[in-house]
Amino acid sequence: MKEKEMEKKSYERPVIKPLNSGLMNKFGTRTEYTPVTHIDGVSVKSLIEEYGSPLFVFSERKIRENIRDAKRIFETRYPKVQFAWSYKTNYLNAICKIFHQEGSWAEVVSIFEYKKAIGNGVPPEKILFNGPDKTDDDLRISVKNDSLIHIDHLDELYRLIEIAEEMHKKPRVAIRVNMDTGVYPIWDRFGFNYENGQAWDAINKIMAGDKLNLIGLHCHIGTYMLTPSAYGIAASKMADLALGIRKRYQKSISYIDMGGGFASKNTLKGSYQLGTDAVPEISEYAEQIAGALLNAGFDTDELPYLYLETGRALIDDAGFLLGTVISNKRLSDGRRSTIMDFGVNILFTAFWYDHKVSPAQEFSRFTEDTVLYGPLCMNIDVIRENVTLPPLNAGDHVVVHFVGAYNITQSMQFIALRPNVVLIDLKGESHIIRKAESMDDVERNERIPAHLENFKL
Amino acid sequence: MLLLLVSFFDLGAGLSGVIAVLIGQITALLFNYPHAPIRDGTYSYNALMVGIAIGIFYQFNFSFFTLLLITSILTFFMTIWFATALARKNLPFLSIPFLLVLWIVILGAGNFTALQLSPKESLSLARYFPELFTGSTTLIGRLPFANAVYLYLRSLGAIIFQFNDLAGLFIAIGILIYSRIAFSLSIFGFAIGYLFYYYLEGDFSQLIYSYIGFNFILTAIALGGFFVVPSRKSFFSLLLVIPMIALLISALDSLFSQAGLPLYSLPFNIVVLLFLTVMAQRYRAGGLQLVAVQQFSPEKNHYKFYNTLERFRSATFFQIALPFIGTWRVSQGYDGEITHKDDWAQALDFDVTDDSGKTFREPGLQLKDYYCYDLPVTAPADGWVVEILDGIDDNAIGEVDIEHNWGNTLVIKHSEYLFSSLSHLKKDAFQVKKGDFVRKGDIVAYCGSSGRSPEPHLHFQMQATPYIGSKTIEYPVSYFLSKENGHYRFHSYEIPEEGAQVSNVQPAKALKNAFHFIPGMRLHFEIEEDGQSSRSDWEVFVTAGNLTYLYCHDTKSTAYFVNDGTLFYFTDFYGDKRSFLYRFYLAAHKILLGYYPGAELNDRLLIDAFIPAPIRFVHDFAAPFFHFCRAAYRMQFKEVDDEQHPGRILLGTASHGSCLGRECSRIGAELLIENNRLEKIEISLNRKKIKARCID
Repeated sequence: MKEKEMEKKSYERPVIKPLNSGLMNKFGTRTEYTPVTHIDGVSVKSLIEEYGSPLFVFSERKIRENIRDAKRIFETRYPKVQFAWSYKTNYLNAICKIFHQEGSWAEVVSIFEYKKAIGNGVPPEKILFNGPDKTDDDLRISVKNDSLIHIDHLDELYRLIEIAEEMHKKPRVAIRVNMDTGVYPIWDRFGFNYENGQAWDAINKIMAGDKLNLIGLHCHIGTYMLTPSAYGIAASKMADLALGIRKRYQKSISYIDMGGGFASKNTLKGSYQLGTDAVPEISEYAEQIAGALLNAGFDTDELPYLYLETGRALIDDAGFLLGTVISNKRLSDGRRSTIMDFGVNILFTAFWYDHKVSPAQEFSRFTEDTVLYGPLCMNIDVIRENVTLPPLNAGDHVVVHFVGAYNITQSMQFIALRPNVVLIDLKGESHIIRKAESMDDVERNERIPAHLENFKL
Repeated sequence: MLLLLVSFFDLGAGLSGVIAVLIGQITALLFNYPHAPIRDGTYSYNALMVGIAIGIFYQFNFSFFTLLLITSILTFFMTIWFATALARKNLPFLSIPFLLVLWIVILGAGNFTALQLSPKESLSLARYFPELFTGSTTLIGRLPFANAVYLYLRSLGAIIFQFNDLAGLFIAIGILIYSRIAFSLSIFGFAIGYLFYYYLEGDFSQLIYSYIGFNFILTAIALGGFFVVPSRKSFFSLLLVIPMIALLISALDSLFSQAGLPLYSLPFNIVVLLFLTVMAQRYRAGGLQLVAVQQFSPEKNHYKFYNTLERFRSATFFQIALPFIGTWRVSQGYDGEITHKDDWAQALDFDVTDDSGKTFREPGLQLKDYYCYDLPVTAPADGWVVEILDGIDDNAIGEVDIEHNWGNTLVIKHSEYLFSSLSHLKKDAFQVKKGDFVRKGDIVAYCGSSGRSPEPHLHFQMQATPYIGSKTIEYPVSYFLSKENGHYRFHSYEIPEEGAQVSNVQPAKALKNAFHFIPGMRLHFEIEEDGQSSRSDWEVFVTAGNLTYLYCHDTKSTAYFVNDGTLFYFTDFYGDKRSFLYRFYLAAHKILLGYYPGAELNDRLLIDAFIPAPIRFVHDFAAPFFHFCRAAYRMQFKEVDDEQHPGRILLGTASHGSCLGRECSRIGAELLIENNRLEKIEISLNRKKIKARCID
């Protein structure tokens, strides 16, 4: 804070704004001009000085707080709960390992992520292998390792039966179930449908074949679900399947995996309200799921474990993107625009969310509607179509919030390379958890045919 | 046996005693009395004493045997009368039948001249081996306090009408073999009586005449170790009780001597019954403890009581669980600083905290910021909902509603005089209604902040009356886990302490099934010991009183066990201590049926299996005052195939005996649970290894 006091007051250019006297709208003005000068006690300025701009910053404290919160919320409502970290949400090893330290298993959807989890030291029998694309080799590896295979479609089921026979092992499996939870569109492209009997078809095939050990049921009803009651419906349908299996085959299902899909506090594009106001609390999802499972009629001894693959809701608010203003520009229609040094290549989620952007330094109370552009020389590179911000000068810093989920895993080297990612630990020390990319990183795998080696211009 | 032998010092007396017992037993049989008390001699010990007494008094002739027959039967009748009358008050009939019958004989026999008093020492051992008696007498004469020792020994002998030192010596040895505690009690009791007479300058002739001092000894044994659990306190109580005997001897003597009646054990009978009555009428059993299950030995009474106390402490008959799911914190315990005072001191408040101990997430200004708010509240045990108060709003944070102190409250009736009450619940969120039957663990309501509740929390109390706001009663939570630094600790029958993070125990199916011994089930083990293999076959039985036990047919051994769904534990063992069942009884003394890696379960064992007999002999003397030998038991989980759904579990138990803090012997065991049963048991007994495998 000392640093702040010593700082010289910065120059702010004057703004001209129409005066809307007396015309209060129902929701007030969306102003987002509280400066965020520090993250976990470390100043934005010093971070950018040390690691460059743009820069992804993750807060270890926040991550641990989130997972502990979520665990507590579920465990005080349902006695058997297991979280599995969704690798696709953020597969940086350092991030994954924080979750594993907090007791989370791994949830992966490809052999690439599977290998990452193994590399991180997750015991293979604590890896949930989801997804529609598991090759025979992938299946062989996970059968050998006794990982939990969540079957997505009948072809996979048939192949897995063959592999099980060939390997003389009985793999532990679950089937992915999709269903109508009252939220549309139905996510019916993954797994077997509950309503039309596909799920039972798959279950019957597994039980009749006796080559696979059906120990779980998996569903994932959607993403960014804003209706907690949908989870209640889903959990009831899953419990119904589990109890049906118990009744028909005298086999108790060990776990019900409710997947992920809990919303984070981000504001979806087109949303009328801010994410922080519109998005349900995790406890609301928990209440629905736990209530449905506890009331389903399981024997107390045979209560299945509840697995959760929550990703976004646990990491989104622990990630920040720091950036710097490149330039300001007045557009032809008179709107103000600001060009930042980070674009949609590293902030992929800007396509879905109106990310909250905070200036990283003190300023006056005057604000102006602004378009935030990225640095890419491409028309799609828009960070915010419209954001109310105080006037920023070139070289000023901003903090983009709720960027922890999906940006690291979906970012790319489109036009520009990807920046450093740092983690601020519990003591306020910062660590690089992924270095900024170099030319070599990108070109390492490129090969030039001999005839293209030379040219003359 | 020794006592019988001593009674044969006077052949007539011994013979007459035996005949009296026989008559008593035959009478009991002819009158169709139950076999068990006949077999253990309950109906005939008074007859034995009557027989000995009149065998000493009277000459053997036809009319003597007529008298013996009549008195023996009369004694049996008297026994039945007093047994029934006193049993209602849960009191023993001691030797009252004997006293009455003997007085009847003394008062009534004079009328029948054919019953001649036999001259003293006829048919007595002393006539043939006088050296034996005089020898022992002179030997004792050399001891310090010879007078006191004579009096002690002769008093002992007088119990069976043998007024000589040798008989006393034999009885003393007999007592010593039977029980070290009884032996020290006999000396202690006698010494108190003696010193009381000595210092208060009592008339010793009362004591010397017919050696009535045995009343001190009998009372000391009865109240110091037989009916009362022997302890420091029981010894101390004798300091007050024995002088009463002395006073009674004196008082009754002056009364009875006028009628020409000897007192015999009258003072003993009066004081013991008096004392036991006083003990039984106490408002709360504390301090001196009555023996609940008579083991017929002061040692067993003592060890069993203290072992049970250490093992089960305040175990309650009705089990209650914590009224929530997951881990909560005890925010206010019994006798809490805030509101758990006076009549409501035995209550528990719970809330939920994060790792830093905070109960809310920032900013903590709204109810929903509080971790425990709106969490499900469950029934602590089965019962009927007898009272619901709803409709009180949750307070804003920091505010209290003193007008509706308890807030929304639910009272569940578990049995007559046992109710649980849950308060400060959320409005309009009850999941049950008045009159509903709820099962343990059912969600009944949600945590709120109504009533006198500045922030959301759950108030939980046990009470004896069905009203909201009833006075609390102390009632331990049957089983729970506390978590500290990520480690679980198992608690049984404890009051959760303020600040503790507590949760209910979730049983693991595999463990539960493995120890689920149902009556009629048979278990077969193939045992390998010292390269030799043998078999052990057990069967599970249940008594009329619903006590379950394992019975080994080969060794006729019985091991009583309890399985209450959370714990499996053994309570008693009777039979062959070299049997495999006994080893299993030690090795699986207490098993936690929920899988909690790292959790330890501790228990105490009786020292029998661990301490060599000579040390135990010495230990018995010290036992009422302090224990220098102990036997401790520990159970841990070693390996598991799947933490969430364990199917194959390896349990380790270790017990060791220690003497003066030094380890004497140890028993280690590994129990392998697989396929829902006890698959393998490996016991290492000091250096010996015993392997057992379950076979179908």
